[in-house]
Amino acid sequence: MESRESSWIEQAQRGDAGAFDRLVQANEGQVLRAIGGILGRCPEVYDVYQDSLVSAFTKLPSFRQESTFSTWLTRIAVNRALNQRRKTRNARQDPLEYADHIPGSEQDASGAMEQSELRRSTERALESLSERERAVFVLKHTHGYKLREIGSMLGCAEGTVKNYLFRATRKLRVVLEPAYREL
Amino acid sequence: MNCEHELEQLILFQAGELQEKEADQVRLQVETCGDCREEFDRIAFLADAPLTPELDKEAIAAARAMAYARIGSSWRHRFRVLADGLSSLARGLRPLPELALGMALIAFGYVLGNSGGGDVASELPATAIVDVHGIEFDEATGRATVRYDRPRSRAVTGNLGDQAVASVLQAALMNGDDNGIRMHALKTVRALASSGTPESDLSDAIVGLVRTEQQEGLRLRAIWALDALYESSTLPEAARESLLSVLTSEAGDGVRIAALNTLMAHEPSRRDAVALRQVVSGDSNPYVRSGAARTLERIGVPLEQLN
Ligand SMILES: [Zn+2]
Repeated sequence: MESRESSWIEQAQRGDAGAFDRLVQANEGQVLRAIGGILGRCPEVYDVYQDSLVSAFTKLPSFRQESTFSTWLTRIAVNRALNQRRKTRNARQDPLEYADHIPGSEQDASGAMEQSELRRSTERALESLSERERAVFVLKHTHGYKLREIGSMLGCAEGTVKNYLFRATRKLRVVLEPAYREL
Repeated sequence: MNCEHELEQLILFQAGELQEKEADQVRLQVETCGDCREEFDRIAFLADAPLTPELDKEAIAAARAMAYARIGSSWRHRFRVLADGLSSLARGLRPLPELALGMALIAFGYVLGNSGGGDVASELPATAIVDVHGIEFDEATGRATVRYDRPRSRAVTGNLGDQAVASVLQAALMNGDDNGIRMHALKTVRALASSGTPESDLSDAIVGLVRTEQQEGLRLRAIWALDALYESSTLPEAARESLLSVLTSEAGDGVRIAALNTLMAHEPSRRDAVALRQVVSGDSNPYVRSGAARTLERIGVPLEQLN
């Protein structure tokens, strides 16, 4: 696995678009979970993914394999998603209103109702976090990254990341308390 | 009752971030103290919550394909794009019309959900797909008539200041199935541009075409439409960014020239310098290179600063 990835990276660095595509598709789910976790459900997720891939290809010649490709690509995507989030926050006053109008969010089958209810309250709850709190919480709990790794992705110290995690958990604990009680 | 119920320790324990000795201690607390147990369950519940949204596979494939298309056109001179990559690009490009349609649906739902009352808004469900089939611009009155089906044939007449007209034009711009309708919508926006304040959702739809439209002629018209819409006001950030990305990654000379001209006409500033430098040093077209150099001079970035 490790060596196959290495050889794909080397081929991609020599300009083999097919090898780059294999690397991208092998890590697509993980990268999109990071972008989606930070931005929530919105069309910008796909723009950020697109820009991240272009940026990754541009930076590929300088990738020294000091981390796995997936961590490296996720780092690029996370930083782009954070930038996008700042832009969107400034431009759009109430992102929740927007999320509510996305088709499909109301038409789940009745059996999946509870799950979709939880999904919606979670989405709302995540909106109460700052972008960094949100990024840390998502990267910790959906990717299982170590706080140290998250720190290096976001360019901040491990102690700072720890504080983001505490703050995010405290906020979510309050906002999602009703959902927890219903369980 | 000799336990501290320390939330932070419980959080780190749940996250697998404690050293073995500390972890053992917290584990014991969780096993023996009811309060700690409940707090731990609550933290675990938060960690297991659905934190990431469900995404659209087609849109993902389209985003990947667009990225490869951009890579292909801006890096051809440095990297050899192998046949393998090209064929995956061709495969990936097919979902684009669906993506555009999906975007129309989302954006239109948003417009209608927020517009307070126009007759179109009250007639249509928030997630309607509007099938626009005719757009006419009347030079004498300066108004456009847009015909659409939903559920039966209807038409709205007016200019960009009318929410209904702006909304239906926006839906037409996002109609990925019909190039003719997108073309007409762009021409109409341009014709109506001086008649009303630019509608920001409409402007976003045009920016979307500048960024993702496959037909070169339509990309060109989308840029002209932006140019006309903002003739006497500030170009929005998203529009400016789309022009910069055209400048550095578009293959068609005419489209790059239109992007450059539009940028030059709308107060270029120092933040455009990075893209402009790239153009001065790398663009294949001499007109585009010299235009970018002139623009850099105008915004006060001396040419000798370029490497
Ligand atoms: Zn306790």
